[in-house]
Amino acid sequence: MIERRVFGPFNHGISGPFTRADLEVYSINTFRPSYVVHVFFNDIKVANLENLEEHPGYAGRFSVFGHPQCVGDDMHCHVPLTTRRFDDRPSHPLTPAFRRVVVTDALRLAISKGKRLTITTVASATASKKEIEGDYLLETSGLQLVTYE
Amino acid sequence: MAGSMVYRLRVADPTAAHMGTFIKAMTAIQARLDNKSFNFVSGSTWCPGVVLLAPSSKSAYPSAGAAIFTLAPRIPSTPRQILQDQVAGAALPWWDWTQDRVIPRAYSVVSVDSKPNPLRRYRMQVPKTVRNPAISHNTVRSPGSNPQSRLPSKNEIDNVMLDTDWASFSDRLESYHDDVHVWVGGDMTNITTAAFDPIFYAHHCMIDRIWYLWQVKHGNGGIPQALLNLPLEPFGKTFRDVLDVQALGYEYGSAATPINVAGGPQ
Repeated sequence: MIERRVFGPFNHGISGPFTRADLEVYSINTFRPSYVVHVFFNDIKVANLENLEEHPGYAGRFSVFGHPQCVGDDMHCHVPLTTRRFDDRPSHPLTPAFRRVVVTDALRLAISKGKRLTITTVASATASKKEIEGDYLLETSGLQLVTYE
Repeated sequence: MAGSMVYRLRVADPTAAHMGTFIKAMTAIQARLDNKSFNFVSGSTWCPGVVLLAPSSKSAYPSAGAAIFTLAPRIPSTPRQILQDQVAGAALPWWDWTQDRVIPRAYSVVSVDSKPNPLRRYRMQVPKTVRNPAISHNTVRSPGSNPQSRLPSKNEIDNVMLDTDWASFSDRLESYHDDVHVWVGGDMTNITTAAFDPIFYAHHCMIDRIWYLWQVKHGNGGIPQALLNLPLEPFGKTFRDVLDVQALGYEYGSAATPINVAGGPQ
């Protein structure tokens, strides 16, 4: 399946020069089939899926190694929201993931054309839509653009 | 040599000496089902509940999960030791997917020396639970079946090696790691079953090697102190314990040729 999501348009608020820019993706649900996400600036449609890296708005990619179905018993895949005192076990394997994509050159190009920015993600998995619990393949709590001097 | 440090070398043709040793050891551990078996290592270590390829949590430490992820190929002594239990000097090889852009021949040929190739696939045995049936099937791959998947390029890895910030390096390496799982396809795309595919270990050795090379270049100075004391359940180690690969009994090399006392290659 291919899933396009569009974030924005929004004012990017970047005024000064920067040496590096990262797109941070927060709280990604990994209870999903594995998938790859390609990221674009200022292209809502991303109509052509051939040669994605040559697309003018191409910014980068990230992948998510997923866990498509539970093979355990009740609550096996339940991510606890709180931790008991003395429970020093590592975080649950399905704790939502974080991804960082370095987008420096693509962001420079995109913001040179105006104050508004749109981010489009194209997520691709070999699984079908009906194999996914929830509305989105790429389910995230939010994105953040960070620049460094 | 028995008891000495082993050298992890690049995946090569199955006729190469180090691959022959590794294949012999893999054949032996795949023929077992006890706690010295490939099934035990891949199952109890990685599936179904103690997978340490934990997605990172931004809440506690920016890269706590990624740190665990990065360590994953370094932590378990069991895979390393059960191989050497079978054949002295056997070591996991690394698949340099920046150069070898297909499944390496050693992992795809049907037979080696007229015997089934243990690196091609493995029949996993996961016991049933109350709610779910047992899993028993031969691992499968479908490389490149997701047309949007990519193997990380040499340029991308060269670039991430320049990242001086440990947390950023770890975050980025985790995504490149995931790229390879998605590209290989089949059981490698599923956290539950991935470790049963023999190529899982060749891939993770490559990730471990990249981290080792990054350590050589940048050291360990940027790792938060609190993370260094993080317990790495169920391996009885902390993050700090696994920073030095030599202390764990292996090293990354480009060649290692044992010389017998009578002279000449063995």
